[in-house]
Amino acid sequence: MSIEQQLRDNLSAAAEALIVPEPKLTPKIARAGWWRSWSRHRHGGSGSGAGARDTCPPSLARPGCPHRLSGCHWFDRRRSNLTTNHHGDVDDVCKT
Amino acid sequence: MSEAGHLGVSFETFYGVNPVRIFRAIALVLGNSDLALDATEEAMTRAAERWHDVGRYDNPSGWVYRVALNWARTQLRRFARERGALEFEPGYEESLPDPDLIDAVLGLPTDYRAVIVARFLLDWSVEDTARALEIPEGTVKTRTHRALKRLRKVIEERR
Repeated sequence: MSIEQQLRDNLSAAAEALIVPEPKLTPKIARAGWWRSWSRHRHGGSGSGAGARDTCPPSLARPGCPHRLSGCHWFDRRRSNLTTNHHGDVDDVCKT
Repeated sequence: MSEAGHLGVSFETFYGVNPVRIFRAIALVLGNSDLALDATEEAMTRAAERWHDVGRYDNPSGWVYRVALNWARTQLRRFARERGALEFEPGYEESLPDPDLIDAVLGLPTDYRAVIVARFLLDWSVEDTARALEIPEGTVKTRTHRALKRLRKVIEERR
């Protein structure tokens, strides 16, 4: 077998064997703002009303979180350096 | 943000398919899962912010790959970020046809690994790899040739 094919086989196997912390990839993308349009679509609001602001998108929310915001993967991962909430608003960070 | 590029792919669609693939590639280049995750996240964020332009590129993944690698290098150089390790599933070595070959790949200089991973994991052409890494095609060929030469030597020495 050629070295090129051995590389393909081994790199693919190694890549598949890597532990992928998938949820961690979500928060910054959310902060970048693209999901706000998604959120508006999902929640049917403008994103500025109380209902929209207090609700995590389903992909971020964790069942059982009383405040919803604090159960986000985003908050778990980025608690130490958050500058915005998960709606991208600087002045509305969940403290719980 | 969700504006489709010239191929009609929205960022949401792009993001839905590519982060894990890019993360895995970046991790194997850097030899560091934690840094790779942050680098992928950073690059994806920048892609989202610039999707109007990035989405029009022939290979947006190539742009993300380069941005992630450059960001990681800056972290290592400027902020003296610790060199971490790859995090594999338990017993992963049993799933590798040749664990020594992966060790040898991880022993290559980072610039070589970036080319090798692009060519043989992401399966990009010489042209795509050159465009992604913003290096001449001749450099891609040279790095590939030298890397393969080193890897062949490792395999032969083991025999």
